[in-house]
Amino acid sequence: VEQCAGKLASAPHGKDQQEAGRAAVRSSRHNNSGGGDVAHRIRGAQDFFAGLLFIGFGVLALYLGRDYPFGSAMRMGPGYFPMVLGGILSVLGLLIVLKGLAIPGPPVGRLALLPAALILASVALFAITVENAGILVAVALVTIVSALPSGAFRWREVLILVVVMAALAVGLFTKGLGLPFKVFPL
Amino acid sequence: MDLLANLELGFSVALTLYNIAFCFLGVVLGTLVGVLPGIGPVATIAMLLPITFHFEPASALIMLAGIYYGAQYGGSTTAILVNLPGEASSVVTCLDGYQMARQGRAGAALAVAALGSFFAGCVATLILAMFAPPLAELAFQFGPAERFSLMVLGLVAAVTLAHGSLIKAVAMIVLGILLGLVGADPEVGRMRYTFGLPQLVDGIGFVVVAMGVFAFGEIIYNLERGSEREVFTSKVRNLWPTREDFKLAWKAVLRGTGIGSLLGILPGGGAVLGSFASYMLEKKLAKDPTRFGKGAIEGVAGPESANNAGAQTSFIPLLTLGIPSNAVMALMVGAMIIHGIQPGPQVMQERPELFWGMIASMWVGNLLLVILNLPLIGMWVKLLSVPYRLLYPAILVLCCIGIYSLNNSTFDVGLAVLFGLLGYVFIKIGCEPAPLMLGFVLGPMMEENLRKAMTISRGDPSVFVTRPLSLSMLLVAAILLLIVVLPAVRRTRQQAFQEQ
Repeated sequence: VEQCAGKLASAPHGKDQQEAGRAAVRSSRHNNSGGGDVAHRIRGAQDFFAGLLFIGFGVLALYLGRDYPFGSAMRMGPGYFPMVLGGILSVLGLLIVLKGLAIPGPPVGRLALLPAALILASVALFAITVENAGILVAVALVTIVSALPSGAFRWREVLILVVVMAALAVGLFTKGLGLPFKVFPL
Repeated sequence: MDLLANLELGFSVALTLYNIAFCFLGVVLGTLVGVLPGIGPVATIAMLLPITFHFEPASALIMLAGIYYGAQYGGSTTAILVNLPGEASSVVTCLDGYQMARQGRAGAALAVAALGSFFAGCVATLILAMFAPPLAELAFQFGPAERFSLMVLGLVAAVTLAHGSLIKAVAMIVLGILLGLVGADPEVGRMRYTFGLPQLVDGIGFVVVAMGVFAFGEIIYNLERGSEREVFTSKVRNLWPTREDFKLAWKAVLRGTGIGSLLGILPGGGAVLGSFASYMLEKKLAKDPTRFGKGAIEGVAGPESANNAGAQTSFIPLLTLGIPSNAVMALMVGAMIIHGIQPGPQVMQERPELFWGMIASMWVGNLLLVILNLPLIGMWVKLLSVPYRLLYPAILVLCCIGIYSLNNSTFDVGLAVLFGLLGYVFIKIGCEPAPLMLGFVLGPMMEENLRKAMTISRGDPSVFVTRPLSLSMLLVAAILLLIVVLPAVRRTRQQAFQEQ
């Protein structure tokens, strides 16, 4: 039923667009397995989700800024500019969502969740360890954890890289440029 | 003549051994990241920004500028030998450059690209030296209303000339401005969007955002695509182009330099746009357009000259008006602010040694680049065999050290994780991060000037359209938008069709 509705909606726009619409439906079905009915109605998935993100940020800006003094046009308070922008962003987000519903566009595609998690985790580990355990431990953690999702992880290679990066961190950054890093854990 | 005296001052700064060393370092790094696909000048400059704090301001800027135009040279090497754009601005070089390499003429393609870039770089630097002072003169007459309108024009131009969806780019700008407002309000000190965190009182660090959305997001995206690449390892022989090559190439170099310089000056321009425009122009002007895509030397000479010219002239809006025209220039603003320099027309008067030193260093840098890229080309080719799986952990380590050392703050590193996530999401939903960066940099300045202008006019918004300079800038912005809106509709539709 959803698919029919989509076809009907695109009919007045001519044959080309209809084809594109069908392609988008095909690809979104292909990529969002388990998306159900909603996936059929979203024709430009990238736009749809981008719009949602912008609405989210816009509403957040309006909500958090609700108590900031607004002032007047002549004497703008701290709330004036952010509230106007929050409003604009929400409206733009809404338009982009509608565009995503109406106009066929590229799908979001599969998400690389594991690489994303490991890369970001490696940076977070650096933040956690650098001041307590020192730069050597922090550099080793970043290198090893971030290398895990490379698709061709080899311990020997990664350990050599750890040694090179650690030497660089201590030799160039700590000793050479005088950055205040603690080197050893103790 | 003033120009000569100024250039003399510039060369006296650029030709000190200390600054030549920094210029060399910059162009070597630039060539390096240009050659390596998967890391570009934006991430590199963001990575090195915190470290430049320990250098002299002039040396720091000379080095960072060298990274940007050096990357234009390096990008062509990868495009020609591997059929992969080392940089976005080398995308069109792949078309004919790689074909030339397959025909055994890689040497000629590399030489023409390097020599064309050198010529373009020298001419564009001269343009920069000639046009910057009068433009800065004009900028001195600006009040808050003009400055606000100018920033609006800059942002509008940046989105209209960028590729991709117009409305999403505008939304990214607005989001960027909002992120730029985080921290204490500049007039009354009221905390905005700080979530009660003392680390956010001074706002979100510029480097934090840049590294997160550009470097981290990009790395995750590259891992997702799996960027194992095939490297064209055959030896590069016969570096010197033939007479015939020269005859075909020199006009393309001239035209590429012209079109690249022009498009580089426009806000939102820079290197990428010029290379595309030049390729289209060469194809249109050629007697036999069917040669293009099959190893036409003009298809290498024109775009490669254009991208280097554009990289150089895109410094004009930054140095004269204080408006960054692309993401790299936004980072240069960050670099100047770290050193306590507010970018704008006053830089030329207050710090002439800095301004002219940087310009003079571009000639030095271009000369160094020709040497680096012609006789030493073999070294860079070897570098292409370094696998990405070893490269990106090293990039991450340098990013972490860079972010941390800016304020010795682990909070900043943690915040960069959030922006990295956001950066990856932006890629997945088809949002270009560059407009966000521009908005982030310009946001606080826009608010300040808007408030001042409205206070002066006693709350009357017509001030923006009654002052002639302000009005004309807003008109140009409106015209730009109008021109683009219709083709944008067509373009997005075309994109949708391509998905089939």
